Amino acid sequence: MSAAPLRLNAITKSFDGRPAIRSLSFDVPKGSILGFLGPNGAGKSTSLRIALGVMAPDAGEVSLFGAPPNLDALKRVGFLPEERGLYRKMTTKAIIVYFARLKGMSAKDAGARAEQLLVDHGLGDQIKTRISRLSKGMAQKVQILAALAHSPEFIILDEPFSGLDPVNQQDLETLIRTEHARGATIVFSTHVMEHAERLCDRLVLIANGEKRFDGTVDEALGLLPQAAKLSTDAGFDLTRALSSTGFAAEADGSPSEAGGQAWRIALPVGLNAQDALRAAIEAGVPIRAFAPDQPRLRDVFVSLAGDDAVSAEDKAAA
Amino acid sequence: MRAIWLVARREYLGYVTAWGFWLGLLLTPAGLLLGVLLPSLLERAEPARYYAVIDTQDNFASALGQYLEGRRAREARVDLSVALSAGSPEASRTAMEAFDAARADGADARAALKAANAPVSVVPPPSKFVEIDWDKGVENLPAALRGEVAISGPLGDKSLFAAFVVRRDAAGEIQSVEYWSEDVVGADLRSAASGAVLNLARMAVFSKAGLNLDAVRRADLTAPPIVARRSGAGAGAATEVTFADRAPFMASAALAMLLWFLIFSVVNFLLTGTIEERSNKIFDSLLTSVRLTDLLAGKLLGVLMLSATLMGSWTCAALWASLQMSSELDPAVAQFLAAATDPSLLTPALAGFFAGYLMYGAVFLALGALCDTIQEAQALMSPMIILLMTPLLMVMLAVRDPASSVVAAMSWVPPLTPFLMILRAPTDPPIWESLAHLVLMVGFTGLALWASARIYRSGAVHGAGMPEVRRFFGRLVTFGRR
Repeated sequence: MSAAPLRLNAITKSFDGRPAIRSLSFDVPKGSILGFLGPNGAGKSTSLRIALGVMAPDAGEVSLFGAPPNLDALKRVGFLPEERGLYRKMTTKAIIVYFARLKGMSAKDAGARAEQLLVDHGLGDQIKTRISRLSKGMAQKVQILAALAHSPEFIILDEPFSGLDPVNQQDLETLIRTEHARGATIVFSTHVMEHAERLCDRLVLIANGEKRFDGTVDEALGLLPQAAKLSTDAGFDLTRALSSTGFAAEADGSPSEAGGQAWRIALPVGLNAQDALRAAIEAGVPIRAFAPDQPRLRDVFVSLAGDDAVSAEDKAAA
Repeated sequence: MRAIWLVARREYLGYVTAWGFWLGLLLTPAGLLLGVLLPSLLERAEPARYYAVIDTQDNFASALGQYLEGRRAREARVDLSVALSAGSPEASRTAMEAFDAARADGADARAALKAANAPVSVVPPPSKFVEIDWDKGVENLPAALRGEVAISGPLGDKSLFAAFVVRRDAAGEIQSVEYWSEDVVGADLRSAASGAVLNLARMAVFSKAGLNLDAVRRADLTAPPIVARRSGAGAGAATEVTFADRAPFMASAALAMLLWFLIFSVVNFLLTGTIEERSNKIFDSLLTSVRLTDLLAGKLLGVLMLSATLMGSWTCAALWASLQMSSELDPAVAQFLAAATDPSLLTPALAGFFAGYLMYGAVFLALGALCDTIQEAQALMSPMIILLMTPLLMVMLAVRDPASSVVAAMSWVPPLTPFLMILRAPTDPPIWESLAHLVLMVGFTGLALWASARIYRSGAVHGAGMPEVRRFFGRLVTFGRR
C-alpha cells in the first residue's frame, strides 16, 4: 500500500478544560475501508473534524494527503458530517451540483453527474424536488450523494447509517462497496458493529478520547478468548468431568435450547472447538448440543469500551 | 475567486427566487412613493372648503381673502423659481421681478404668473378655502357646521367648514374674532385669520398715525425679497443661491437615506441566511469545501449583488417613470439627478455604501452564526436596533445642518462615518478629511470583518451560541463592577 491519505499523530483536543481527544494517532491506509468505532461521545466526530481541518487540535499533527489539511487536499475528499444539513429550499440536483462545483467540477459535468447519481440511487423522480419536501432518509441520501459527486479519492462518512431504514442501510453498504471498488479509501464512524464487521478491513476503536484498538477485524476478534457452548443432561457436573482434560467449563446462566444444563467451555490458546468436543466425548459427557462460541465484534467493542458503550440498537441486533 | 463566486451566486439565486424578494422589490418603491407623494396629493386633492364671515363690516373678510391669496402667491413664486432655475440666471431674475411687480400692483397669483411669462407647467396651487355669503345669523351656524344643512356656494352644495364671528365695539373696532369649526385640530384657516387680524391692526395704527394706507400696502407688497448668496469660486462677486446650489445637499441627504435603507434592508438577509445554515447544520459540509474567508466573502458578495439588483431596478423604474410622466425631465428633478450623480458626491456615496454594507453586514453575519432561530436573533437585535437607529438620527440632524460641528465630530465615529461622510460632501470638506474618513472606514471595516470572522467561526465550528453570548456579557458586567 502507498502513502496514507490520512495520518493523525498524537492529536489532543480539550473543550473548556475537559479533554475530548487524548494523544490519538492512527493512519488510514490507501485503499482500505476503515471503521472508526467508539461509543457515543467518544470523540469520533471531533477527531474527524480535526482530520479535515474544520477544527484545529490543541496538540499533534494531521496529515491529509501528506500535508496539513488544505483546500486542495479537501477537494480530493468527500465528507458526510455527523450533523446532517442541506439548504432546504434548493432542489436535490442543485445541491449536488453546488457541492460538486465547490469541489472543482465544471457546471456541465456536475449537472450530468448529479442526475446520474440521483437516477442510480432511486431518486430519479426527485431531481427537481426541494430538499424541504423530502423525507429525512431521502435528504440524507442526497447529502451522501453530494459528498460523493466529485468522485473523491478519500471518503469520510460520520455515522452514515444513522437515521436510515434497513433498506437504505443496505443500499449504503452497497454504495460504500462500489466506491471502494472504484479505488476510494473510506473511513466511516459508527457504533453499530454489524456494519463495521461486514464492511471494514481495518478498525480503529476509541473510547473516552483514547485509542483502544487499531488493527484488522480478525485481530480485533482475536483479542477475546475463544469458547464453545455445550449442553448436558441436567445435574451433570461438566467442570469435574473435564478437570483432567485441560479445558475449563462453567455453567452458563442462560437456558439451554436443547434442554438440560448449558455450559461454556473456555478454549486455551492453540486449541479449538473440535478439541473441546473430542475431550468431552472421551470424558463420557452426555452431550445434548454443542456449538463453537465465536466472539463477535460487539463483544470486542464492549470489552474495550465498556458495556455502557453498547447502543440499544446494537443490543437489539445482538 | 471561483469559490467566492459560487457561494455568492447561490446566495443571490436563493434570495431572488424567494417571493419575499419580489414583494420587497415591488412594494418598497410603491411605499416610498406613497409616503412622499401622498401628503401633497392628498392636499391637492382636498376639495376647497367653505367658510363664512359674520361681521357688520367687510374689512376682516377682505383682509382674510388677501392673506389667503398671499399664501398661494408665495407658493406659486417658489414653484416659478424652481422651474426657472434650469435656465439662465438673467432670464430667471427678469421673470421673478415681473412676478413681484405684478403682485405689488395687486395681481393675484395666476395673474402674477402670467405677467412673469411662467412656463405652462407652473400653476398656482388651488384655493383651499372659499368664502360664502352667510345671512342666516349666528344661531344657524351649529347645524351648518355639523353638516346637517348643505350650503350653496360657487363649488356647489357643501357643508360649512368654519365661520368667523367678528365682535366689534360701538366705534366699529374689532374686539374679538371667534373661530367656529367642528375641526378642533386644523389650524390652517385659523392662522390665516390671525395674520389677517394682525394686518388690520397694523393698518388701524398706521391710519391713526396719519399714514397713507395705500402707501403702506404698497410698501408691504414691494418689500424686497431676501436673496441668498454664496461666495463664488473666484475672487468675483458672490452668486445668488439657486435650486442648483441646494440640489447637492438634497441629493446627499437622499443618498444617505438610501444608503441607510439599503444597508438595513439587505443585511437582514445575511442574518436570516446564516441562521438557516446554522439551524440546518450545514457548516461542516461548507467548511470542508470552501475556505471560511471565501465563504464569508461569497455571502457578502451575494447579498451585495442583491442590493445592486434592488438599487438598479428602482433607479431604472424611477427614470422610466420620470420619462413617462413628461417628455423631458422636470428641471428640478434633472438638477437633483445631476447633483446625485456628480462624482464629488457619488464617490463618497459609493465608498460609504461599500464600507457601510461590509461593516454592518459583517456584524449581522456574526450574529446569525450565533443563533439557531430567529427568536434567538431577536434577543440579540435589541442592542442592534440602537446601532441601526443611531445613523438614521444623525442623518436627520445632518440634513438640517450638514456643516454643524456636531456632525463633523460624529463623522469620526466609524459606524456613522459612511453616512455622515456623504452628507458632508457638499460642504466641501478639506481633502485630508475625506481621505482620513476613507482610511477610517476601511480600517474599521477590516476590523469588523476580522472580528466577525472569529465570531462566525466560533458559532459555525464550535457551536457557540446564546449561552456563550450571555456568559460574555456576564463577564463584562462582573468586570465593570470591580
